[in-house]
Amino acid sequence: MRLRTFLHVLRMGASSILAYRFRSVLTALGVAMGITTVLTITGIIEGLDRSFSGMLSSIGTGTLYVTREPWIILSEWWKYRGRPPVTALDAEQLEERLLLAQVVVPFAFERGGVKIGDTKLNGVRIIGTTEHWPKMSGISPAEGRFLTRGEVAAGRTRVVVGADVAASLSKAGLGVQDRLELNGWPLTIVGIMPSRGSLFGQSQDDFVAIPLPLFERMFGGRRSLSIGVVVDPDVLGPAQSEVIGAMRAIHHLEPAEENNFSVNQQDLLVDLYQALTGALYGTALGLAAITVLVAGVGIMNIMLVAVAERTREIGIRKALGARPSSILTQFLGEAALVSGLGGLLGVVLGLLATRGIAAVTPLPAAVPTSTLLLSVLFGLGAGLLFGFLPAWRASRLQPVEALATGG
Amino acid sequence: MTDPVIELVQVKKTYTMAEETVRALAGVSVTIQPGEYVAVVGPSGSGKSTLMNLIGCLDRPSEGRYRLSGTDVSDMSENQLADVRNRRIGFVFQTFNLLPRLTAYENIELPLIYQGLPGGQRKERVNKRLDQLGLSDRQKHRPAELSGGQRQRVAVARALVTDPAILLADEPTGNLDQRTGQEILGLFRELHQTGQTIVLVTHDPHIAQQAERVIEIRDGLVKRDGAPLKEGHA
Ligand SMILES: Nc1ncnc2c1ncn2[C@@H]1O[C@H](COP(=O)(O)OP(=O)(O)O)[C@@H](O)[C@H]1O
Ligand SMILES: [Mg+2]
Repeated sequence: MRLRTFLHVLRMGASSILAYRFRSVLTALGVAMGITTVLTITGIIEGLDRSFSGMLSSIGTGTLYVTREPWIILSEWWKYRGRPPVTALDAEQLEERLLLAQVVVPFAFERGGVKIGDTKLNGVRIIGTTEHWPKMSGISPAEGRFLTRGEVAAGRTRVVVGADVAASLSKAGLGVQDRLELNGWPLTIVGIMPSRGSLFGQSQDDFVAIPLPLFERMFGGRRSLSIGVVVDPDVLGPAQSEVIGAMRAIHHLEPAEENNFSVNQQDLLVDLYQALTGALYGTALGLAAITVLVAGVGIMNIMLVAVAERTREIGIRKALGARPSSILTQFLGEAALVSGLGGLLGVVLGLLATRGIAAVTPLPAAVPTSTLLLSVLFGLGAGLLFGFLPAWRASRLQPVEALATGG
Repeated sequence: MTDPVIELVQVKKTYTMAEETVRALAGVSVTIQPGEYVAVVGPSGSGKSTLMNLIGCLDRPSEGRYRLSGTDVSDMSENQLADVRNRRIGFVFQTFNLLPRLTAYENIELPLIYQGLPGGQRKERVNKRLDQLGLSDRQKHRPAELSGGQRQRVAVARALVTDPAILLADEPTGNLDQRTGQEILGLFRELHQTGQTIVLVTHDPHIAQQAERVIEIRDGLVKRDGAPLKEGHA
């Protein structure tokens, strides 16, 4: 077919869309709904991904975490019951033994109340740790300084506060060098950490950090700690072996005995996350397939009706010399255009839906631009695919029979 | 010597339906020379439309050969037949068969679009036919906004716009009143005078007399082929 004929035939297809508005709108809506559904799910998954990578970066790729139980216990939880706690002493000895470690950071969490002047903050995360904590978390004070080695060793009543707590401080007209009360203990503020924003809807700035010995005085010293071992990410594997070896020695384990501690890293979370989102992706794909099928069958039905209704038109065109390919192109073009427009509408609705989710939930739902483009193409493709059978039928109609049809 | 425009040799057409087969044409041999004005006449169901569909390459014969301007079209492919219809045949139907959503101009232009002709040439040819048929002031009108006679004139313009070898008309006056019907027949006579080959299908012997040659069909066979019989009243 000549290009000129092709363009004309396409234009005629387009004008049919206007002539048969109701049908066109129905078809487009079918496609739009399918695409909206898929885009919304994609947006949610993307939001999860973004939250998750935020979390990963806060855990750090180059940190191994020594704990009593593994982070993720999927089975045989009873195996971990008899394990000894991980202690500050373990951390000290690890620091001495490890060659690949850049820094060793023991820490523990609790929740407690902070009193600033007359204001009380409840449920603040209390981190008991050492002077190396900033090297593990990757953030250093925006104001003042972090806890010093001396303050940590002596367990002095010093505190560094997160940005949320700092906000309450400045409301009360207080700052570095002033005092706050933590679970009834008066502490001197030495530093303020910068804001890290929120993750999964939870603020990451709602914390205070105090020397680990002070923490143990407040909450008791028998708890099991976490020990962060920061290493060069390139030697993560060897470093893990080294940590395991060192911990076995520190815990005096015989060669036949199993480890009575766990070494965790980001990978574990990545695996878990992938297992969870894998299921979600599967569901999304299934839903996408169903919506596409429903929309597709809709396109096909509507196009079949269109062809049946316009049999006489097809007969006339054939009598005037339209080749089967011209008729095929006209109806395919019509289907593709309608469902392409449906795709566009679906993109708009899908965007609105994800924006809405991002606005009212903590999930930073978003749809990547490439997906948007793909969706429109997809709508077009669905039109071509499901419009093919009806268009092909139209192109195969016998001119005499088509002309004999009423309408 | 030039080839005949139409050369049908023992053409048969049978329609096979669920139980029975209908023999619409039982063996028709007809030769039509360029410039002839031929009427095909016969009672309803005699096979006129079937014959017209075969001549117009809208359908294929079940048996026999059909040569159009010397070219055998009996075994042509769908695409080749489409091109033959597009370039060599101009159809005029009883029910006009205009596309309702297109203007008069666009209806006339359609065959040229399928021919792939550039815009300038299309415009020239469409305007020529609009002028010829006195439709210039109606070119923007859709069929629904035109009278029956105007619609049929648009159909004739569309049939002629490709300068076809044959103008094929099946009961072209069937949906028109007496006066408008005469107008269209007058138009056909004028076209004949300019050398246009015309095949006019009608059940009405009076109309058939307009032609210079009448082929009478009865039960799928040619019963008579020759000059029109002069009747007392025409
Ligand atoms: N598509 C068809 N299927 C079956 N029978 C047909 C078909 N078209 C025409 N016929 C039959 O063929 C015969 C000739 O029909 P037709 O050519 O339409 O006659 P006319 O135009 O002279 O009235 C009739 O008996 C008619 O019923
Ligand atoms: Mg008939």
